[in-house]
Amino acid sequence: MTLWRDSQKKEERQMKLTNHKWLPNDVFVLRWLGLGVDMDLGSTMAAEQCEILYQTCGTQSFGGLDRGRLLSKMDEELVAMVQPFYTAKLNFTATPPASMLTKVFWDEPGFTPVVVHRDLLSRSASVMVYSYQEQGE
Amino acid sequence: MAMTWFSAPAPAARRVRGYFAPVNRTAQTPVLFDPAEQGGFNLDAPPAPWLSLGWIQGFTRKPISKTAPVLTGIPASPLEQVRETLEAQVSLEFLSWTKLTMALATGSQHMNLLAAASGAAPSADCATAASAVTTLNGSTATFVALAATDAAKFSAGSIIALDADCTGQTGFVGAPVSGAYVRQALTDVNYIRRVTFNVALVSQASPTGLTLAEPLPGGVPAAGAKLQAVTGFVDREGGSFYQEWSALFVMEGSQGERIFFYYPRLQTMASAQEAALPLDGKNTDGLARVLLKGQFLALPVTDPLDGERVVCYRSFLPAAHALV
Repeated sequence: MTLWRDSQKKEERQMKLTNHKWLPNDVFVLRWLGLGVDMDLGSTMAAEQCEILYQTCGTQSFGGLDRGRLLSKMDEELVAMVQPFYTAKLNFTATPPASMLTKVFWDEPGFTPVVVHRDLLSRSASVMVYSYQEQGE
Repeated sequence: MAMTWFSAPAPAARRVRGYFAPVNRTAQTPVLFDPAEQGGFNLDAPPAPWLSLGWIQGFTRKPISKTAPVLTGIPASPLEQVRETLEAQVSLEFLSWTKLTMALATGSQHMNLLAAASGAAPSADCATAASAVTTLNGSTATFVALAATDAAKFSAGSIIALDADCTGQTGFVGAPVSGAYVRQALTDVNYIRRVTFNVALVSQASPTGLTLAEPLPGGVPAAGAKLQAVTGFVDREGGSFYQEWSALFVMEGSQGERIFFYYPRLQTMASAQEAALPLDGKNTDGLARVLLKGQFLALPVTDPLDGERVVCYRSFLPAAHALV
């Protein structure tokens, strides 16, 4: 019962996320979707799909007419953020976070077409994020 | 203090990066790459004299060395193996068109299209070029000092070729890369500048000279070197000259590990070819990127370590803390 409630709550949260009016404007919202695991390796590799959602209404001072430009700017920002295509893997159970031995890495982002909802422009991108399981994990 | 480690799976690499350096044809000396000393180099700034050719794709190594068994007994069975021939090929596609990539992907001399003299008769490779101008003292690898009247002939955006006059030299010509082998003295005074790899883009022109967007491959211009404007590049199907390069290919894995393929001597073995790469699924028959295809034959060197003849060195620098 507890499990069912948890999954129901998770689903409700995800439904809210897919509904644009629940998403905050001008920020990147990350959703972690499918998970795959390859255990036939020297170290088990986990692959998780990361969906990055973002939207904008433009700025009030321009009456929202600059929303296309702002969305393009967020596209550029996202492309810059995913490079380089790796980062140090950190253990956040410790304070301060401790560097681990391997790196987390990902592939090139795939972008969806722009969705127009009244005065709102939104888009999402998807990257597959990979990580090796280390000793003790 | 004891360290921890991890068991690294096979490297996951995105693409291959290519670096080339000219073989000294006169001395028959390839450029060395020492992975122990130089393996950690910044991939965007390779150690001199290696030149980055950026990303490449379709990198394929094809070993075609042949081995044969030495048979003995009745019925015959292998006693041991011998290597009958030593041969390897490399093929790849360049993702950019530059002087260097175009030259590497052609089977013969690669020439600069020198700006034509006013009213010159048409020719397939610009036989009558505008006069060259002489560089002055004070030039550097990124600035070419010129007299004001000469500097006025160039502008920002011009491409220049800088090398010596052809005054009857024979043998390998062009600096820093041998661009051709001249069998008998030529009458064209511009021939060396036609085949030279010492080319650059002008970023700014002033009455004192030309500032270049990137350093000249040959470094500081030699005394008496001359300069001509270049409009483009040309190569020919045919010819008898084979360029020779040292090549280094690098695959960098997701954990920072690196795989190097070092070929001391590579010669182009195919004539100029192109491949079309559609820009997206919608444009399978339309808009496509035109890639230069390169196919090379690896030539052997004698490793002074033990006297063995080899054509390629494959090195692996493991990721930090990875079990070996």
